[in-house]
Amino acid sequence: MPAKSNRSEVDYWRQLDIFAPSNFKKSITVIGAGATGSYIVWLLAKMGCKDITVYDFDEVENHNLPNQVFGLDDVGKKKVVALAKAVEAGTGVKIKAVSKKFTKGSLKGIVFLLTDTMESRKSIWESSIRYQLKVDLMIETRMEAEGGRVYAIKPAMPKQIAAYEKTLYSDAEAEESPCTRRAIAPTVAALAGIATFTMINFANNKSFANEVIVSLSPLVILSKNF
Amino acid sequence: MKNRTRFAVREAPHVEVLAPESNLPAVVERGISQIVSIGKIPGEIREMPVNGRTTIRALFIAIGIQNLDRCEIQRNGQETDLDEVVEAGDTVLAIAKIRGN
Repeated sequence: MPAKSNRSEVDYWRQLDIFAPSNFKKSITVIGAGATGSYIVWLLAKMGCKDITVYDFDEVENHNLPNQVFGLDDVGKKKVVALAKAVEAGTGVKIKAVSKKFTKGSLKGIVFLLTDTMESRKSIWESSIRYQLKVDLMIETRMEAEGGRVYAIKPAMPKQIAAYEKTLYSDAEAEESPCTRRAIAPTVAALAGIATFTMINFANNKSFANEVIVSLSPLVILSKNF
Repeated sequence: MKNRTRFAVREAPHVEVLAPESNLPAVVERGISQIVSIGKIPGEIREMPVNGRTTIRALFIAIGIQNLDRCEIQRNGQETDLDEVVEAGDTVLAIAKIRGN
C-alpha cells in the first residue's frame, strides 16, 4: 500500500530510537552561521529540534556557496536570514535568526560556539559560557581543509574548564591555511555530524568525548575525555 | 614461514587512534626493537624505528617535519616538550592549531 504523503508535516519515526525531538526540551543557541554553523543548524532542524536561535552578522558571498548551505539566490543576503528561509523550506522549522555579532549575553541549554577566530571563542566562553549553570553543554568546532577539532564541554565542570582553556591558543599561534586550501564541503559535513551527534549523545545520557581531533586525509581520529 | 614477533603499540589513555596500515612487522624483522608512532595531524601517523636516545624534535626532523611552531605536541595524549626523549611504544603527535569554521 503506498505511503500516505502529507505536505504539511515531517515524520521522524525512522530516527526515534536515536533522537526523539518531542522529548528534547533544551534551547539551542548557535553562534556563527558560516560553514560548520550553517550545516549544524540544518542538521539540528532536520532532526526535529525546534528551539534554535542563530547569531551571525555576516552576508553570504560567492566563495561561501561551495561549503555552506546557502544557494545562489542568497548571495548578498544576511546569512541568518538566508539560513532561516532554507531551514524552514527544508524542514518546516522556524529558527530565531539574529543578525548581529554575539559578544556577550545570557545563554542556556546547548550552545554551539562556531565563530572563526580564537579571540572571539575565548571572549564568548569567558563572558557568557564558563561557569554559567544554565548552559548544559557547549560544543565548539575548529576547521581546516582536511580536518578539525570538536570540543564538548560542560561549563560547570572545573576539570573540563581547565583542560579546555589550555586549548584556547591565540590566533597568532594558529595555522593560516592558503586561500585555496581552507574549506571543502565534506570536511564541514563531517565536523558538523560529529558535533551534532555529540549533542544527541548528551541528550541520551550517553558518554561523549570532550575533544575529538579529526584528520580526513589520511583518516585519523583521536578522542579524549578531560 | 618465519614466526614474527609483534610489538604492541601502546595507546595513550583515553586516546583512540585509527592509523593507516602498519609497517611494524617489517621493522621488527630487521631486529630494531624500539618503535614509536609519530605524525602531524591532520596528516599521517607512521611507525618509526628508534635506536638509542632520540628526542621528539629529532624524530620529527627525520620524517621531514621541521616547523612545529603552530602545533601542540602530545606524547601519549599528554602535552610534552620537543626536547623530551622518546620511549618504545610512544605515540607522538604534532596537532595543528587551527581556528577556522
